[in-house]
Amino acid sequence: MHILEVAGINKSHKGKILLRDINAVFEGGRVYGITGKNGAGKTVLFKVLTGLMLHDSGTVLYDGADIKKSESDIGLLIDDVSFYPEFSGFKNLMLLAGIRNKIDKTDVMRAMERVGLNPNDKTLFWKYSLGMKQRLVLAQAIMEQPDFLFLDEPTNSIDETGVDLFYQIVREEAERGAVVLISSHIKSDINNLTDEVYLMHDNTLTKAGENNID
Amino acid sequence: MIRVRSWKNILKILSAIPIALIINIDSFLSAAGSVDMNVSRYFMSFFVGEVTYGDTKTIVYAMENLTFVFLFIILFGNSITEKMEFVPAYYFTRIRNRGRWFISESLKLVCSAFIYDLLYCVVILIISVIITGRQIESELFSTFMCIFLVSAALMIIMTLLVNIFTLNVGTTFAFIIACLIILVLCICAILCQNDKAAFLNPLSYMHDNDTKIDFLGVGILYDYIIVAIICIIGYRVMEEKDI
Repeated sequence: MHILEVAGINKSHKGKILLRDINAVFEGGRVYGITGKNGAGKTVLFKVLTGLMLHDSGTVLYDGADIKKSESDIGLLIDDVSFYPEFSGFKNLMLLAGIRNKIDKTDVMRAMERVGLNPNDKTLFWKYSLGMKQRLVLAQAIMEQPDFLFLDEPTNSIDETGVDLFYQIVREEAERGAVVLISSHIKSDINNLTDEVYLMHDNTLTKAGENNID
Repeated sequence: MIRVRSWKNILKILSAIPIALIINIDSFLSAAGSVDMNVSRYFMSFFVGEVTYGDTKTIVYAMENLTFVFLFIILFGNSITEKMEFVPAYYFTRIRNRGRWFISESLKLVCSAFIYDLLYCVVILIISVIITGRQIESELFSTFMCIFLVSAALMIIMTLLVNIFTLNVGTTFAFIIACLIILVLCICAILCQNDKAAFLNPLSYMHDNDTKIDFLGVGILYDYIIVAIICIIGYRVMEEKDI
């Protein structure tokens, strides 16, 4: 079983505390919800956990290994849709797939189909609607069948049909054994999807309980 | 997909050939049939000028002959850091050790600079042989190597600096800062007015004692040490950069 252990994480930037003593253990096969107000530190937490931001102190262990030494695949969806505008969605995903070289063209096409995008569509990325961009970001997050999946405000720009599809994908990923973390301020996302809920407040993370956010 | 980007890089490198021809065309046309110097000296005249420090004549790279260097910097100035501009989050969740990644990208840049520079120098050399109409002399090899190595070092230093500064201040300011650094080094060397200070000047490598040109091998080595230092700085910057 995959496991993500977070202990004593602190992060500050220019004297401002962004994360304060974060401790948690996340296990594979479960979906964890992280909720909290805007600016509470949810995105920073995800960036620190995925190694995009350095933490000042503490440890983040992926299956017992430090993130820099870990070979685990990490899937991330954040509010950043800056793909190469001059390429199609498929080409953008192929570029990312080429970094770790663990999947091929067929896997990329399958991921696009799972999120409801046509892999043969030659539309350039800059012509994509916001919803299509969000689906493409989700496709890049799941295409390598990651052991750890981080989804930050995933349903922000997706329509109702897209939200249902997204719920289904998250459940499938958890059933596969992945550790799934979802940050959202949308109560329905948290209530419908998560097994355990954490609250991010004043840059600290506290366990809110077993899926009972009102 | 990756092949598409490789082709773009190959085209950028091959641009050295038309660049060599276009920016020097007036020199070729005006010199045809009227050059009375050996191949080595004529070849050098496309890159360097002569400055006298006391009794010593030092040959320095002339800014007006460095268009090809600046074009390389423009072509490759954000080759490494463009990944920070597009898809940074999704790119770097797949690359855990960003420092090591920066070093490998820097090595690719070094290779590109060497090939681009070699193409440029070879085109100039061929034209020099044609225009002077003379036999290739023995000193040509060392002249060629010196010019080739120094130009490549200059391109690599500037391009790496632009890439690193781009992370914090954007490409335009990064280019200006990199130029200013080279300029400051040149001014330091000129103000010091002695042989040793020439090492500060990345554009100065040769002493001309009229009969023979002495190359400052140590100076070239110094440039490549700077390249290594910049790579280490880049490694640290990338490691500590928050995305």
